[in-house]
Amino acid sequence: MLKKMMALSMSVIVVLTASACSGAQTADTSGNTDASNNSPATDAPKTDPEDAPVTIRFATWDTASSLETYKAVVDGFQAKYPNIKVQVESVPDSYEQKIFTSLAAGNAPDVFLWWNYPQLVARGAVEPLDSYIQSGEIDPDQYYPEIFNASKVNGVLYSIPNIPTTRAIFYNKTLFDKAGVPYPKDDWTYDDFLSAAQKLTGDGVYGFVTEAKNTYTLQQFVWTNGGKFISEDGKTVDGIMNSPQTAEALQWYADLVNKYKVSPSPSASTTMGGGTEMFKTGKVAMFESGLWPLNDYRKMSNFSFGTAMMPRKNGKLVGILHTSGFVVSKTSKHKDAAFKFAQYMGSKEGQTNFVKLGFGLPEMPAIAQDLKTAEDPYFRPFLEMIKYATVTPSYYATPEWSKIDEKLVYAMEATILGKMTAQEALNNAVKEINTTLQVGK
Amino acid sequence: MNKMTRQFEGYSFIGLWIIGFMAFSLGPLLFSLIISFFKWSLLDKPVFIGLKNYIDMFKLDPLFWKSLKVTFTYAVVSVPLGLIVSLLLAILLNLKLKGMGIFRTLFYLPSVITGVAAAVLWMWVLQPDFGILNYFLSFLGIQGPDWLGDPNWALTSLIMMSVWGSGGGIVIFLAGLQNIPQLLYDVSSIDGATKFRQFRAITIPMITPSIFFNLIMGVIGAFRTFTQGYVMTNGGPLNSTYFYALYIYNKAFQDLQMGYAAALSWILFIIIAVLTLLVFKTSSSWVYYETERKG
Repeated sequence: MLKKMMALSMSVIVVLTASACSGAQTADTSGNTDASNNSPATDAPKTDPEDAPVTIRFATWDTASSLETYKAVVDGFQAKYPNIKVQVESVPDSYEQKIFTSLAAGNAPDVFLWWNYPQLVARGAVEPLDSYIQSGEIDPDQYYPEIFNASKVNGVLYSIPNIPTTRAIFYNKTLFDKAGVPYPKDDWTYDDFLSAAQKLTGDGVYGFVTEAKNTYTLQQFVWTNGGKFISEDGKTVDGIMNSPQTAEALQWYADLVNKYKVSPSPSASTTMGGGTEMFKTGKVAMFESGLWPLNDYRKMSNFSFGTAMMPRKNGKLVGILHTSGFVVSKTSKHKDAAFKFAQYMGSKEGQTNFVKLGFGLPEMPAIAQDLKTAEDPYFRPFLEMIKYATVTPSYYATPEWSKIDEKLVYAMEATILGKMTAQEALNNAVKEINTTLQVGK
Repeated sequence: MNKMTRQFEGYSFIGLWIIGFMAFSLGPLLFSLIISFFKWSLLDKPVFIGLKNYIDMFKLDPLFWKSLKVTFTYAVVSVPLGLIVSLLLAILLNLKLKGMGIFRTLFYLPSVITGVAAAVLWMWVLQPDFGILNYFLSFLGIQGPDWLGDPNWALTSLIMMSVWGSGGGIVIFLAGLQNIPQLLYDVSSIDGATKFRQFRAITIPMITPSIFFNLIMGVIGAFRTFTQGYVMTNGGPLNSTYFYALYIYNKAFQDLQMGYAAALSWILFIIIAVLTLLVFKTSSSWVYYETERKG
């Protein structure tokens, strides 16, 4: 009997700890952030950073490999402001979760990299920076307008932009030559693209690679086709997400896998490392991506590749931007020092270093001129695409985007797996989204 | 005085554990119970909404049901399968043969590999075009499916993988088997019992405490399955591997619905507790302890 008692009590403990795991994630957050009571920057006393020495914390999702660049930029900052010490924290894994929990616990970094501003703005977690435009400390005119505007939510500035990127096509010149396909031109069309992809497919090589769950990428094809996912005010998806234009764009994208068979199945491409890896190993002749892998490809010897603008449909082209920036936390105790740092990171001086690192485009024409970016044949199509990023990404419309996106991802997956037509899948998504938004509200 | 001192000594020995338990288990547990009645995005102030999280779950949320179904299916198939396979392997590994130590090590090895590494390994095994599994199947003239990419196969693949990692269970069974007195087998063979009869009438009853333990641990483990869904399939394709624990995680950190996620966790806790209790309740009729006298 004793044995049984022991076993019983042991199992109870096991069960308790089992469920505690899920509870524990919410647990270290008892210190509640009272973000809303903090006075906005305009009322905050402007302490002169020259006077009192302060230490601020800065968090980035970049990994150790780029920390040397960070160090160089931070050193440049500290030479200018000797009284502001900056502590750089690199969080390459579960970055967003760590920022969320630190915000909730009231010990968020003073400045951090972020991309989904509406999500934080809706919860009052980041500092508006408009007052610095009025005070002349930020000059909006030095930036590309498409990029600067992406740092705004409802017309208010919340971040200093950091190296953005557009998306464009990478293509393998060797495979193009072998298949006798001409290299893409700036004004190439959907038809050109498809016929090239078809000619390039075969012998274990795919012409193109699609991503089954990436609705962000899908947006550019939807916009180019005149469709959208959600209304500007973020309140309506019915008639928009399931409009004929949106459905047609998704169907076309899915057909690349199912009908034309120029792209591998989603799981096949996942195990092959996705487009970035498959391109490197010559398993795919074209893929669309941000600028990120460019430096890697450049370093490879005997690898002949080029970059091209996205194809046009009926003369129309809408591209997409990946933007991020330096935001100042609402709970920062040294907001002015924090702003000075954010501003420096996003300044011409700071950004030039980051552009050289090769992970993004210049955010202002001045840097592009200095570094002769437009003359670099690999950079040029990406730089050109900035002008075509004319539509605001869907997540700006509502802080609830992740919930809507989950249904959209399902629709996208179902279409690419050939389980439903795009129209059916999107109709379903619209139906489900309306209930999902009420859950737990 | 003496009694007081002894009590103090006793408590000070377990004191550290108690503090740890309060701070890292009980505290979070209570906090998550309270927060399950709130709407809380982690970033703003919690708003009390009573039982709404629990009601919405049952009334409005198809993914709650879907993830529950996926997790139950996984548990119902993988737990018994794991028990049978690990028991059979344990019996094989209990044979007195040369080099058995090597085999025991080999079969235990998978349990040493951590979840994520094993998950990545299996992604390659299950790769449809050049994965090793489909490669072997091709010798038999079978065109293997797109294991993780086909909604009809993905969960099956993960169950298959769970059986591969049953080394921990094997060790427990092996210990149980070695605890059975040889005497019982000797006596029964004098009485003319066949090998099968011995297995049924001696091995199985004598090993029920180990089966019981592995069953409980298996059920708890199955309901908490997270890594495979998170790393290998991200719940897909078409939510076919959307485990309940993954859903909790996504609700908390993707949708920032901490209160709702906490409510989901408590439902999971209740499910696991009820199932564990059921197994315990029935155990008196099928688990035998050597030291125990059955009246």
